[in-house]
Amino acid sequence: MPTHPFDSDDDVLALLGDVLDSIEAPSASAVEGAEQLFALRQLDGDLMDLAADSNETSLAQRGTEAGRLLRFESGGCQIEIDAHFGDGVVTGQLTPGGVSAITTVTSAGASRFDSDALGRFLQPIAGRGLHRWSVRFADGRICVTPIVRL
Amino acid sequence: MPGATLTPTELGDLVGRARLGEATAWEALVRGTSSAVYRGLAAFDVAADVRDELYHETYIKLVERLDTIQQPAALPAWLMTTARNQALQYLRKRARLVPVADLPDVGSVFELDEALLDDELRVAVARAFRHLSSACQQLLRLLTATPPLSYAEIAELLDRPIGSLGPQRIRCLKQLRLAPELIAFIDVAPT
Repeated sequence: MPTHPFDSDDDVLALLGDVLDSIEAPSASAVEGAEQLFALRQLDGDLMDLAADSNETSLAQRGTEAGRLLRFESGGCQIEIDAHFGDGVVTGQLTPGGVSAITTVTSAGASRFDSDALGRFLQPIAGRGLHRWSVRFADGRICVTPIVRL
Repeated sequence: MPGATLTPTELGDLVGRARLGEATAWEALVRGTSSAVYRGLAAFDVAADVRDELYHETYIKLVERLDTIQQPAALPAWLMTTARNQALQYLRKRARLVPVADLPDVGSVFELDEALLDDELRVAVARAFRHLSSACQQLLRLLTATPPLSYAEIAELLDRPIGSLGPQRIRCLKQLRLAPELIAFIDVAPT
C-alpha cells in the first residue's frame, strides 16, 4: 500500500506554504523599509492628489533624471515642487500664497520651515528617498501630499 | 521572512493601534502581512529588486490609507489586490519603455532559490511547484497565503467563479502530488 509523506490536502498546503515563504519572500531590507514607513504617516490634514509628475514612469525610470516636477492639489490648495538633484534643493510654490508653515517628513525624520509671503520656499534635500509635505496655509487649512519617492 | 499568522481579531487590534500612532503595531502588521503581499507579486515576471520595490510601494499605499480601512480582517486581500495593481502598473510602464521583442515571456515561472531550502523534500516540493501550470501556481499561492484568504476573496482576486476553486484546488494538488519530483518520496510498504 503506497503511502505519501503528505496524505491530506491540509498537510500538502502547509508544507507548500512553508516552502513558498522560504523562497518567495521579500528581502530583509525591503521589510525594514516597509516598517520604517510609519514615520511618514504622522501628518493630519486633507490628502492631496498628485496632479502632475514629470516622471510618470517613476518606477521604471527611477534614478535617471536630473530633476523632478510635481504638482499636488486638493480643493483650493496647491503645492508645486521642483526638485534639483544636482543642487540638492527643492524649490516650492504654494497656492494660495501668504506665509505658510511647511513640514517635510522623510523616513529619516521631519523638518519644519515657513514659506515667504508669496508662498515660495527653498528646502535642502538629502537624497531621493521618500518624501511627504504638509502645509498649514495662512487661512488655517492643512493639506498633506501623498508619499512620493523623489 | 514570514510572521506568525494573524487572526482577524489580531489584525483589527494592530490596525487600531497603528492608527493611534503605535509604531510597533505597524511593524507587526508589516511582518504579519508580508507573505500576502509577496504572494500577490510572485506571479508576475519582474526582477527580484523590482518585486521588492513593488512590495514597498504597496505598504506606502497602506500607510496613506490606514485610516480608511473599514474591515481589517479583509486587509490581506486588500494588500494582495494593491500589490497586483502595482505590478500591473509597472508592467504597463515597462511595456511602453522596452521594445516588445526585448520583453521576457510574461507568466514565466518565479525564479526559485533552492539554496534557501534545507531538506530534500522541501527542494522537491519547490521543483514540483515550479513545473505546475501558472494557473495552479497562482491558486496555490493564494491558498497558502498568511493570513489566510477566504474563497470569496480568492475568487475575486483571480476573477473566477467561487464554485470553480474547489475542483481546481483538487486538480492542482493532485498534479503536485503526482509530480515526478515527489513520486520519489512515495514509500511502498511491505506486503
